Amino acid sequence: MSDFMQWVTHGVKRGRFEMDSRAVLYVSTFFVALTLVAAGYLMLVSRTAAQGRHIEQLQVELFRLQRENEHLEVQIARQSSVSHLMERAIEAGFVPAERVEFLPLTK
Amino acid sequence: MAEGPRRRLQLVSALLIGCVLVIVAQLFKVQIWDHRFYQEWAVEQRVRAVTVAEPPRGVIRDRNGRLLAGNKVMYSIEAAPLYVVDKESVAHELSMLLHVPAANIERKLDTDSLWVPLASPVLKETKEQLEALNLPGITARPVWKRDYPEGSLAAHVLGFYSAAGRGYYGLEGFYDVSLQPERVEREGPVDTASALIPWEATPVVLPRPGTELELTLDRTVQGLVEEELAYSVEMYQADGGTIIVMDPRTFEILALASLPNYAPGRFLDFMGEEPSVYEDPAVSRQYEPGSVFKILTVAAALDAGVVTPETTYYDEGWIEVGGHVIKNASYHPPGDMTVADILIDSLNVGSAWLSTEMGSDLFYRYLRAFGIGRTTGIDLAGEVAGQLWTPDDYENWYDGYLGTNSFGQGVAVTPLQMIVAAATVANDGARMRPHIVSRRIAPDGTATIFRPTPEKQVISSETARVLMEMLVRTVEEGDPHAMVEGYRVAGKTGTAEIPVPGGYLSDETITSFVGFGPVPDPQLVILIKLDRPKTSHWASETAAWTFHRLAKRLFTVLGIPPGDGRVVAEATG
Repeated sequence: MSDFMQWVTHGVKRGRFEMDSRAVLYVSTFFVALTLVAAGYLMLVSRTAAQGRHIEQLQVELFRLQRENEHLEVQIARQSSVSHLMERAIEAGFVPAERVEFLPLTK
Repeated sequence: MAEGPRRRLQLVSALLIGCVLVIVAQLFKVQIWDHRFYQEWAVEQRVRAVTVAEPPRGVIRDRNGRLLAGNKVMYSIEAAPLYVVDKESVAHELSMLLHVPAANIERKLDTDSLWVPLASPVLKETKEQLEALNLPGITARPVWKRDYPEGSLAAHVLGFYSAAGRGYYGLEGFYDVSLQPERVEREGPVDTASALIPWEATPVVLPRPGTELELTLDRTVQGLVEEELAYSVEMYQADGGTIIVMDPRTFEILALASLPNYAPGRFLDFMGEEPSVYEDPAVSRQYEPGSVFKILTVAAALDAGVVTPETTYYDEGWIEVGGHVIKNASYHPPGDMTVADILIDSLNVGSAWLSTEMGSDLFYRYLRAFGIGRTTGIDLAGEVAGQLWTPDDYENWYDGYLGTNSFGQGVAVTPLQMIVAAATVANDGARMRPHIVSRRIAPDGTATIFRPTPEKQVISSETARVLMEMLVRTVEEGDPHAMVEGYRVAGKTGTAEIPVPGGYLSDETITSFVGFGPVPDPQLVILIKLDRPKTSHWASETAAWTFHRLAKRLFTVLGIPPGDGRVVAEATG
């Protein structure tokens, strides 16, 4: 060890550090409590993030269903369009009504 | 403690405390002094507003809820080049699926960009085939594509929506901002892929589409009208035409059709045609209406008390107004004629006599009251006001206009203005604002209902009734081709010359007929306009027949019994 280091550590060797059991208990309790709080906080944050993820997935599913719904509505509209219905009517043998007679109903 | 060790201890303590103070000072500087700077820097790096979803554009339905304009889902194929391993092979596979040259795809993949588009839009089936290939770095993003399930039905009413994100013409143009949806965005910290980190439980955001429009249009009536228009244009070899059907009690548009038309879903196929097919001739193109305009002249003269239906004048076949000689369109033996005869025999001399008897102030005041020379305010894009010169327009006025305007020449109107004027007569003299949207449903579900209200009592109800009976006689005695068996209908033909620089065309006309029924409680007003029919230049042989056929079909379809005033039954699609 160099002269400088000997000079530095000489005072430390001669210092007296007294250990109080009560102080140790308090410090230990503090660190345990701190650890518990930190663990609880992490659990809460983790659970919240998981919930957020789940909500996000539900939202994605909601948008998917909305898209599907709109798409289906357009397909239904195409199948029931005027031009499509007229084609089907002609194929089925229907003709436009030429002559309509109104029958007056008396009491 | 000896002096030496105590001093060493003090020195070491001082050094340690000094180091701690430096650290504390630095912490203070970073966390407190420069807190705002670092916080802003962190937000700038981490926090983004991310579009969570793009809701669809508002849909458009007819009065019975039938979809006229909707949205279908297609897909945009995109790539993250950094994640694509074998670019050549991927390009080859995509090329066969997307029908895009492999070289083009490979060029896009061979960049340092984080993201490149490859093809859009593609069908759902193509997207499913792509997903089956399971290519890393290649994604399919859903995109909305505007769809018109009825094809070209009501094309001019609807307009079209372009991929650039804007609506043009018709309702898509007029209501473009309302139809646009609100983007669903959420702000929060993002990861390296710019995806939101779900670090908190955020409330669900419901995607809201744009405003939904419910129209007064009846899809069934529109289909019948378009069929009849196509038939008439072909039969009379016309260049085109317009038909409008309106309910005179509410001024709701039940159908509005013009030819030539186009398919809004394929509007690009029609680009470049002259004149533009996108413009709706019913509201955006003006024409000189001809003798149908006599309805307004006679209405004005009767209402002003200048004449009665029995008032007579001597018709010698010509009259001079403002230095301009006006003659009847066809030979008529000279003699005493009544006001009713002016309509029945369509006498230009008689109508010019009426307008001169009224004087320009009174005559043009009534024309303005009928809405001539101004827009109707209908909720369709591109409406024009027509043209009506009055003596106040010093630069454009010509004294002869007082005579020629009385029978619809030298004045320009749109078909919509003309039917509004006729509907005013059918509605006991009360003019209302025409409309084609009956309800608007906002994204939050609140509905705004259009309630028709009278805008102006143009002529008295008594005058309207008298005129209505005169117009019934006009059909029965003057234009019998327009009659509908079992019904009393009122109406007037118009055969108008087409103006060109320096005069009028000698061999082409615009023929029209405007009529309503059943009298005395009209529930339909119909305007027919045919452009340059070749088989005959006369409205009595073209437009009048079209009215006859269409009115007969519509009375049947809509369940309107012969004029006894019963409530019309709604058409079912």
